[in-house]
Amino acid sequence: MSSAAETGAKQTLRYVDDRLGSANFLRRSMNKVFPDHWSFMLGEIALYSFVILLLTGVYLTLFFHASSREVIYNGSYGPLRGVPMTDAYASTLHMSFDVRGGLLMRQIHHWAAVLFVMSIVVHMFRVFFTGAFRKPRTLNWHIGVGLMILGVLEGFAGYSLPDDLLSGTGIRIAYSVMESIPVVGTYVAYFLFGGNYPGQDFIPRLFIIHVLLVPGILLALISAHMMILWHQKHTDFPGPGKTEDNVVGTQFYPTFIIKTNGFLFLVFGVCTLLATFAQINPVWLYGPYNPSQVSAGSQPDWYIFFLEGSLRMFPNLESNFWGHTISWNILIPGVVLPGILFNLIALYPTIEAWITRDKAYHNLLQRPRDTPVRTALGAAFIMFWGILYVGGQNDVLANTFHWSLQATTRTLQVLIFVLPVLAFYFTKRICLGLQHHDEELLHHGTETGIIRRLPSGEYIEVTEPLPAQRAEVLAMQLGHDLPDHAALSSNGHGARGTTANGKGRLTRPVGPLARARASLEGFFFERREAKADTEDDEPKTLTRP
Amino acid sequence: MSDNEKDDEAPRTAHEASGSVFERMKHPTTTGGEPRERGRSASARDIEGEVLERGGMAPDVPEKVRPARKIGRRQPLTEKAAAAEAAAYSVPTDEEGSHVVPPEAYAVDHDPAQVDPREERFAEAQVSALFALTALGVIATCVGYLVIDPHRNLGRNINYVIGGGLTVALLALGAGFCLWAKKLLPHGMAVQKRGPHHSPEEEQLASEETFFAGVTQMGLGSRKMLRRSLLGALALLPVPAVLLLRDLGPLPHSRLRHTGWKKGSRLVDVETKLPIKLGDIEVGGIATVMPEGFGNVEDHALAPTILIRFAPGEIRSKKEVAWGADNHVAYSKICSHAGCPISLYEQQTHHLLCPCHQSTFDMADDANVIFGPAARRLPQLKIQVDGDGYFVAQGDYSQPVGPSFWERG
Repeated sequence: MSSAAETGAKQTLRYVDDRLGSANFLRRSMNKVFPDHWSFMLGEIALYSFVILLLTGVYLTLFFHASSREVIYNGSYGPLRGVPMTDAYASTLHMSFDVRGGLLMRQIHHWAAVLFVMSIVVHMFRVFFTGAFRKPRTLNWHIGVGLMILGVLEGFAGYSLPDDLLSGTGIRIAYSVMESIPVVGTYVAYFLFGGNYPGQDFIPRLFIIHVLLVPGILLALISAHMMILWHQKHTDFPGPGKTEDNVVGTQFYPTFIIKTNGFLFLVFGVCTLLATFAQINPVWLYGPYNPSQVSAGSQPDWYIFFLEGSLRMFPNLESNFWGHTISWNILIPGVVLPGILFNLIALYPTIEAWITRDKAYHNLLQRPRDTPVRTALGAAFIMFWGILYVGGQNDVLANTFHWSLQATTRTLQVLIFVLPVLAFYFTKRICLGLQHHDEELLHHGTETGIIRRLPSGEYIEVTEPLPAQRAEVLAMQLGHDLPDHAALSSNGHGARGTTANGKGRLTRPVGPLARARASLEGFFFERREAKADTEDDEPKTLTRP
Repeated sequence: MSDNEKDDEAPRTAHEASGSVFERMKHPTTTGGEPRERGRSASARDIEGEVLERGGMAPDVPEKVRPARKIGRRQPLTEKAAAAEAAAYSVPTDEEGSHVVPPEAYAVDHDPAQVDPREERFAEAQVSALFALTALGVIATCVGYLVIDPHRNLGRNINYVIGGGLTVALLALGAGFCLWAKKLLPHGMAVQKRGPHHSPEEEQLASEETFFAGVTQMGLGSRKMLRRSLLGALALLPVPAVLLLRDLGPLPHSRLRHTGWKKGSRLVDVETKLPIKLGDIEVGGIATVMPEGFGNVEDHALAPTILIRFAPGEIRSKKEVAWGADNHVAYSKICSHAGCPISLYEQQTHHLLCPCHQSTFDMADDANVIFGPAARRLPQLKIQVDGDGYFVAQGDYSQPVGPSFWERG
């Protein structure tokens, strides 16, 4: 660095520190240690796609007219010239065809939105299956769930704005879902839309929700999410030198910051690549919204599929009584079901901690196999959600594979109950099998592939013990906590019988809640075969006649 | 872990230790996650009475062929280094709980003495080339923006050029940063102490004390009148906020029960905007119709109606025949499930299918629901033929069209 630049940088730092006293904070921040694992990048993708969304979104607002005023299109897209449409749709066509780079920005924005929700969901999988949501990170999990829900809403609001035939159909369904809410539903819909569907007021209102209200909340929650992460320090997988009390990794400055900046540009680059070569939401092909039309195979963006599927698969129930109607066929799949699903996700850490009586702090992550029941519950949940997702495209599936639409739907209606149970069972067995394999590795070592015949005629397989470090890490992962560790973390799963406090197992649970908890605890902990008392270093023998 | 002789065989990163499948794919020969010498275990020796002499690689591969040392990769630890690493990880930290593990402790390269300077120069050239590529991409974007006709080929040309240029620029920049970090920046392992996640107990007690002292001073517990009036005032405060939302929209009243159809409204084809006469539709044909004089979509979102002509005798419902006119029947096009316009008609089966959620209605049986999530038949519009041979409505729908709502009854 040249001395002039160095002096300048120094002066700037001084200037800031003289006013804020920030030098100590800055130094500690630069020295902050971040652990390294590929799965920790998933949240970064979400963060960076949000940055991309803000940048491109601001650009789009410069050209978009959030208005339902009817205009006659007169732009450069020939097929729609002279067609009456709303100003919102016309301005979307204008920015796609008459603003240089407008289409690119629109497509980057849409792809980044798809990526945003997707990376949030995959990031949540990582956090869930490795137990990163446990104390002390429960609050950050709640914030994360809020971010996920808001992300889905924001995405829906965004692709509804252009007022094309597809998005209009989505809003129509949303209106019907609001109408189905008992007692207040009609009023909710009327006040939000300013009257009967579609009304003149909805698009301007949706616009301000999409560009100001929700992004503002998202920004605030993301800041909180990051600040809590920064404060609590990142979790890490067990490994050499890693304990519950330290973080091992690279320092924030300079290596991590350079790497993560590179990642920001890579995410941006991938979104741009997709936006350039992979068309998304070609609204000019759908045409302007018209309440008397709909295209076959109307499909929402991927994160709405589960709602679409639940609406398609739910049986046609409706009740009429005392002059009132409850439309169960919309209320349950459209309002109650997402409410239950999102609440389950949000409350899962609390429920699990309550069942397992786990009050310890956890900074080291678990492998999915270390917690078979949690992993299996997660798999069952994903399976349930996945069937809803598939159900959202039953017509496309039936059409593509020449299946009967009715049979497809009926099959899915059965599978949604069967497959989650199967997923639970098989995932749990796989986890236990993997655990068993790990136990074997730990106690007998790895196979060498050498079979020896002893002088007695007996055949044995030669194994060799694991390296000490690996054995230590494996023991930690399997919940055979080392003595100094057992006190710190009651490392929940798999460590039954050695609960941290060492009491409570002998007392009989009193009251229905306590009994329920006790039986759930039994469900949650898989009792593994008691491990051999003597450390068995003998090779596993294999006798053949 | 420090006193074991075999530590040079140990995994050295977190994911090696956790037995990652990726790591195993790289070293398929062992399940331990690392190619390593065999036959050194006590058990094997005991049984064999000999030391098995087999390396991680086939014995006949000469040492020279083994992969050369690369920047940024860790070399196997020597015993001394392993001991030093263990010591370094457990060494007490500096005052704010972080310290860098000295490079010799974990034997990471980027020790200037060990790195081939040519390799480092090459890495620098690679990174610089990527940054130069970024500049080229940006220039291509700008030139494309200024030069290409934006309307050519429906704007695809300009999209490809500026998008492609930006893609190259951004990906090259990102790759450059990553390569820079990977090849030229220190890969120092650092250890930082995690502070306690909660405050010390005395701090918790002190802050509780402060809080409750304030509560006592405010007298919220003892001053009942103050507390109740405050709660009352706070409870009332949001009322104007709710009230202010009142003018967001009109009250529903009976609006959801009415559509644009009136007695005597002619049935106008949506596409041609012409009223439909007897004989305009062929047997088995359908048309989407709106009330005559329909203007913008706002007032007529519930009005779309489907007019179907059956062959004589095909209609199985007496009511349907009675409400229709001369084998023509008119039904609401708005699905009774979620309000999508239903549009897929199968002429031979007389099934009408909603493309949104696949509710299927048997149009020959008074729009009976035969499949899907819809719970109600589609409402029928009473029609007749006027003196000029045009179809006209006999009035509005007799029941609300579209999805159900609480007040529907």
